[in-house]
Amino acid sequence: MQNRHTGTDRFVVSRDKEAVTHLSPGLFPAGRQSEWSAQNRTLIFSIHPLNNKTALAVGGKKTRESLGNDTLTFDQDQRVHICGISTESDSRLAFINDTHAVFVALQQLMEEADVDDSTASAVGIKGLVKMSVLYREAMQRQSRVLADIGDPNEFIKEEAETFQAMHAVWHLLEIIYLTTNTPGLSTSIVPHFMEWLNANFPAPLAEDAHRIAGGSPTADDLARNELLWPYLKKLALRGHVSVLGNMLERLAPSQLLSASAARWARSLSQLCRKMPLSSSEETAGSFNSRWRQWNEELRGHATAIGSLLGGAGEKDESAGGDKDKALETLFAISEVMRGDLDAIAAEGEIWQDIMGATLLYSEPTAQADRLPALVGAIIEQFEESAFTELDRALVALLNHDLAEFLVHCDHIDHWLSAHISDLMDHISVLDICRRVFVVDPREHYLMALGESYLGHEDLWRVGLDYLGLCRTVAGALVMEEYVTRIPLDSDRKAEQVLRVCEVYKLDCARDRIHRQLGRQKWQRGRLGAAIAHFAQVCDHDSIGLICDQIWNAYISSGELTYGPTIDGVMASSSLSEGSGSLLHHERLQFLSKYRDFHELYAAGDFVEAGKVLLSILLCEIAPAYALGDLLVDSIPLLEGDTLVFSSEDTFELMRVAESLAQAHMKQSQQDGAIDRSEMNIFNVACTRNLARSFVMF
Amino acid sequence: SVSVLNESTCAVHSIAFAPEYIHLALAAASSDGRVRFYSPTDVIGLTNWTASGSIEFIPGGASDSDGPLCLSWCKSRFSTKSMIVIGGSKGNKVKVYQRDNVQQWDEIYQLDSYDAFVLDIDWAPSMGRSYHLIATACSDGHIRIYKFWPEPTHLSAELTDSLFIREGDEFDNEELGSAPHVEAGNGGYSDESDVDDDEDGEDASDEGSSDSDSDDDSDGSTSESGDDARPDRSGRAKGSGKKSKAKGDGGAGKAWVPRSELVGDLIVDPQVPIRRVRWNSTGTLLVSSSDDGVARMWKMSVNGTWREIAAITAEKSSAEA
Repeated sequence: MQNRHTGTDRFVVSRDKEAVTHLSPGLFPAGRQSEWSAQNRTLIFSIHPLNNKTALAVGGKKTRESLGNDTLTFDQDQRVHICGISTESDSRLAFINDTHAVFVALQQLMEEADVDDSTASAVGIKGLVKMSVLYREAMQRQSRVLADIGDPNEFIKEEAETFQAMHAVWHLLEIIYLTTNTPGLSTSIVPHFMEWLNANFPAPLAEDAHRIAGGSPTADDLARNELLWPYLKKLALRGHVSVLGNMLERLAPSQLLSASAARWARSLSQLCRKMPLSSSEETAGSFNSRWRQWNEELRGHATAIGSLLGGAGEKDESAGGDKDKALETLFAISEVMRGDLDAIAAEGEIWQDIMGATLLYSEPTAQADRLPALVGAIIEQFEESAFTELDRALVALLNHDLAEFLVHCDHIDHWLSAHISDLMDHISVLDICRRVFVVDPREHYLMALGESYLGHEDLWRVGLDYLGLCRTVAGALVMEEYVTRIPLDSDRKAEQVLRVCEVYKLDCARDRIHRQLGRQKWQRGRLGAAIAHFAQVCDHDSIGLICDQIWNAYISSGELTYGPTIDGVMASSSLSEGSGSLLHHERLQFLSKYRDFHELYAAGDFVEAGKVLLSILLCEIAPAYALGDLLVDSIPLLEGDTLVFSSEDTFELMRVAESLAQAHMKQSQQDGAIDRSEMNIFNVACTRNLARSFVMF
Repeated sequence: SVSVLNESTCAVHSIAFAPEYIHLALAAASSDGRVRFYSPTDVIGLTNWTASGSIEFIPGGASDSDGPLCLSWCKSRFSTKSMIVIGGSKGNKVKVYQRDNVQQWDEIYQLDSYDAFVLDIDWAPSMGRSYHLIATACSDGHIRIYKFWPEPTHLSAELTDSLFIREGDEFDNEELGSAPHVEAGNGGYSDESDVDDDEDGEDASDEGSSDSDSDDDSDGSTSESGDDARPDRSGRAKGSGKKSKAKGDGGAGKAWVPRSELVGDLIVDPQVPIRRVRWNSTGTLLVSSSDDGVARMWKMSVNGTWREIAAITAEKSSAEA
């Protein structure tokens, strides 16, 4: 029977005391935990709905009643601490925003590529390479910014390391899965690997080079320099063959070298220049035969120098150590360059060194599928417990063990695991991992990253995008949950949140936010804005209530000041499509027309005013409570010098009055009831107007 | 105060409002072994609350000395019926109840039972997951996390619920106690031919009770999902692919039974009771606090294991005066 897990994941907390964060000031003295607990105390908490901050306080275990009256309380019992896992530091803000833009562009690119199948793969790979390069450039920029900070503290140093690690990981992934798959380029991984190696783990370092070769030293200066020999070997190991050739050429004339050393130096230098480089035009066969030839020559050199060393050991010792050194170095170089694995292993400092040299010198046309075999053999020579997360991630990647790779990426940084799993998904290599993990890794990491940004005042938008672009059910639901909790501090922020809802089609959330904003603005007296929000959700009742409030304000103040409000509402509603129904809302139309009526009246255009008033009554858009006021408003028009209302119009007015009176009698409703005296005046005015109208017409 | 509800005869340790899309209701768990539900008669004024149903969690009643009772509502919008999970008191069982109609609650599943007091319980918001997550806090210092499926889910062949390959069939017919509708002899795995490659054995919470005896009555109910595809439980991608569940289990005609799985058993210190566990608003973070004055935060990693990601202690640091 295989050894299988039992179904439970048992996890025992094992951490040093120092790794725990302490509340400051603490709630009980160090070491007195059991005492504190025995005094009926424990810790209670509550979680913030948006950003996972936690409020902590002291709680009791037994009920108050069961304790005696003499229990002590302390100050600490009354405190509430609010703590949270730290969100991103400000130093990363620019980086996060830049890469967010790349992320969004990448998603769009892949969507478009999906649509057009014929060129999908070609566009896809080139596009992906472009995006990948953009990501790397952002990482490099951030690295430079961090490096520029003078007097860095621990945090900055760690950040710098993290970004270097992220770049190295990303670059290697790009090489293995993208660059070598790009149509038109050679598929050998070797030149790309060397480029990666020298870009991310540079050796020899620039300052060493400067120290040795800077200031145009003479050949003797070079030969005297102790640091020259390891430098030359490093050059060979890392494939800087032309530089090596030049150095050897400059070294050769030195008087401090033995004749044989000088000769071999020159010879090696020549060989360096003749190193075959692969190109896409050359066939594999032709390249291989050139390589074999070159290799043979190197082998010859190595054997010859080796025999020199072996034989002339004692003789050279008397002449001084330098010549020995030179020959030894030349021997080592030629061994390395002919691809001798032992020599390479001896010279390499880090495993990447050995990997690179092995590829370059013994398998110059290797494809990506050779990597697992090679890396396995090399890693054995190293102490794995000393490996960093970066090492582990790189090794996993070279082994094509992508699940392991992702886990280590996550340990390096959460930004990395989220974005790289996204890239891997687009390259179509993530599906293997999906079968291994319980959850979809891309969704898991993107959601974790998005959630961590939500509490940050500048990054919440970015966080929501990450959740939305997961394009999974869970991502959408989580997003909808959080978007309604984003605090709407200002109009602008509210607008941004609403735009997010529109982009991601979160209709439920959009409605809730509009209602919330509507109520907020209503309370603050911004009635026009409130109406606009309620219109977006077609909440006619609320709009009606606001209009009632407007009308009542007019009635009590006697001044019609709501004109601009109504205008604003009508204007904005004509722009937005969702609130087409707004224009047809009765109360708004009523208020609008009534305002028109007022203006016309004030301007002295009584005939027009009368028409408007009549149309209000005829369309029956006036609310019941306003009818009485409208009739009273008609009195001056009836009584005025100019004839405003025709006989039919007057009959209409009377009909309205009649129905109002009847309704008043039937249900004894108070709305719109008019004073007796006003009613009488109205009736008299109507009669007189009738009389006039019959005469005139 | 607006209203005082004092039907309970013992201490009330846990109360919770029903989720917002169910009508306004309050559940109160009391140490007398009952969970009472209240609704207001006047939804605006909220002055008058009436008891509208109760669950007799401990038949025969209990008292304060039997330990506290705790409860948590299921907050999912998509469940067909409201559910609530209750734990604690005599026997320290954790059970899920479902509401059939306004006043009637039925027990549908027993999640687990322990040797230690169940001090707190929380039902995570579901957020699009195909399963529910429930966490319990015990006085034995364990935090246990369960996946729970009350209804059949339609899982595609690719989707896995769990990384864990399960041992054969530990399902015992006699221990079906409270789970309804299960026919005798149904293990689903009684067919011998399944045993040799048995990656579909689904056991519920047997393994979870760390301190309980092997013959206690924790229910392991198998899942029968009618014609649904059995979820593939392979860990590292198995070449043989999904094992067809049709092999010898006579699937058609069996009613669906709720099932659960213990997916996380987090141990802090067996001497220190965990007082409170809460999920965050999306069910991705679990926070716990215990008598040692430490609040811990737990997250699920991508391979399904739960790990502590942060701890905050109320203890003064030794550097502080």
